[in-house]
Amino acid sequence: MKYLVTDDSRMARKMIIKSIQEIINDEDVIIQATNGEEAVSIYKEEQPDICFMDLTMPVMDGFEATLLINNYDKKAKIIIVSADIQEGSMQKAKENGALGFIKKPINPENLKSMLVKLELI
Amino acid sequence: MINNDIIFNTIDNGIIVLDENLKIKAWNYWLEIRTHIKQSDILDKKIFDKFSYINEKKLKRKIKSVLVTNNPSYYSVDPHQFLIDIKLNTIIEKVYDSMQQDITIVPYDLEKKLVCLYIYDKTSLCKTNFKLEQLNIQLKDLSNRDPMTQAYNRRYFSEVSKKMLSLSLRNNQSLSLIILDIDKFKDINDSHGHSIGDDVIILLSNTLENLIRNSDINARFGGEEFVILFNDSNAENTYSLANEIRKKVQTLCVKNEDKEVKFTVSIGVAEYNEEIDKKGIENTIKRADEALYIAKENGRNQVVISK
Amino acid sequence: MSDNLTLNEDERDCLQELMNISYGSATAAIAEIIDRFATLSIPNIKTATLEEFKIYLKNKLDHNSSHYVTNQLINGTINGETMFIIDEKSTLNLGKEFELDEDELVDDELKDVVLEISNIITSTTLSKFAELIEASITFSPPTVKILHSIDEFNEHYANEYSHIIIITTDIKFKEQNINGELLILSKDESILFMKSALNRLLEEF
Repeated sequence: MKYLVTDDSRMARKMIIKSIQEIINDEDVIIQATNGEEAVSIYKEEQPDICFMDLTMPVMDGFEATLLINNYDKKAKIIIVSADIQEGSMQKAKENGALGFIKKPINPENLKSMLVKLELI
Repeated sequence: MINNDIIFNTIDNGIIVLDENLKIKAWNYWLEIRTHIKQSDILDKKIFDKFSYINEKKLKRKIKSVLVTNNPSYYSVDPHQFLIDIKLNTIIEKVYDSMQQDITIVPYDLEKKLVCLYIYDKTSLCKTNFKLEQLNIQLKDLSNRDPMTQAYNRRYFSEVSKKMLSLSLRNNQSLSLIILDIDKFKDINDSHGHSIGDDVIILLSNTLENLIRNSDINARFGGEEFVILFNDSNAENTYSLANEIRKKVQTLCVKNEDKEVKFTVSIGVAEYNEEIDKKGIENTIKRADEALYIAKENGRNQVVISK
Repeated sequence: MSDNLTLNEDERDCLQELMNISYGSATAAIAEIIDRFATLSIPNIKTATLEEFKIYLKNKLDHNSSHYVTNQLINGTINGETMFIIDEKSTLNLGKEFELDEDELVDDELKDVVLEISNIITSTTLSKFAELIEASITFSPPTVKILHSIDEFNEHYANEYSHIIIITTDIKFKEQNINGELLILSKDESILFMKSALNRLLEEF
């Protein structure tokens, strides 16, 4: 499995990676991107299975990146990971093609059950 | 083991427990005494049934804030003054009619949606602050005044005349001033002593204050010299006013034992002129001073306009 | 000034992320309490000396409009103070968001509105932050004043604030032209505590 973790904060990426430690296997690959633009180009090259996407990032934000990736690949599996947890944001992200939304700081249990529910793992 | 009941009823502030519908679930002894309402009479009643002046919208919002954030919310004494109106019994040094209060609202039980209000009596502190503010205002004013006559001092006149000038220019009004000097003041001091001399100056200053309008500024410039700034008044008008002053001064008298000390003043008048007084009001004062000199030279007890 | 009071890049990145999360809680709280959608800009973190801070404040307050300024103290394993600065026009708009009637849009009512929003943002943000770095804190009641110019800001600055971390964020309400800035100021020992807590987190991950 290939995972793409996109967040402009190194700390945030570390935290996301830590929280998915339990569900990944040794052979799985984790690719990191620091903003939406990078995420889009990496997606096109690497075709990751699951993407974790932050919302507020410089250059290109998570809303736009989600939209572009979804346009490129309707079957893209994008989970938004954000501190901004309002109705409006969640709604907008879903409209752009995100499958799910998880609040920072990530609770690994919640993440696991969400991924199970979405039949991603 | 701490007995909460004892603390609840002996603590020196008010404690109310409310639910999210603003029904009272607890009301401590401190409040019973001050509001004359017993807990048993007010339990399960909505708080505005008894205190209808409380803003319902605001209280509900603050309670919601506490329940959502799990952190305190506040009614600050500035600006609210109080939540529960408790009349004060003060007779001496009364500043406020009602107790001044700070309120802190804290979460009591998040599941049951209960909050706890603490009421603190801040009247004493507010009183002190109020007095301090008053003293401060007095102090500021004092620094603008001449100690002996209580008229404004020269420094303050300098500050305020600039402001009044720009105001006049903006509103297209004329601004004039007079400079007034007691005639042969040295002789008064020599004949009757400095104490009488001081009385003369004080009497003159008080008379001037009574003759001018609220918008005019009277300042003591030197020992026996005063400058008055007249708002919205041209040279001609100011000349009449100055003459009135001159005539009035002639009627004044200070008693020295059995003697009557009388005196006169000479006055120079000048209207601010944008062309001549380009440098500002200081120049107008200079011209008035020149007019004053002429008045003195021409026999005193008269008014001269600077042209 | 000691270099050990400045943040290195890793620490700064970590603090930034923790602040993002903390502010996220604040926006959610505001949305729930007053039923309005607010966005908080990404917090800007800056370390400054007292002099630099005074200049920052002067630039912020020295305009033709008046400002409402609140202060609140933080006590506990982190110590410090928060300031919330909002201009007059934004305050009026905020009052409308709080559903004040026309005749309620006066100084006293607006003061309370500013106190409230300041309290909500401060307490949620810092509680969350404290939770993340395993600190415990309490707050003192906020106070507010209306300043017409920086000259009215006659504050005596404590010398202990010789090194200040300034975290600023703009709060914007959708469509409603409301801009406010929250400043979090902290003292030397707290900066040290924060650094060790941040490093602990960095090691954990």
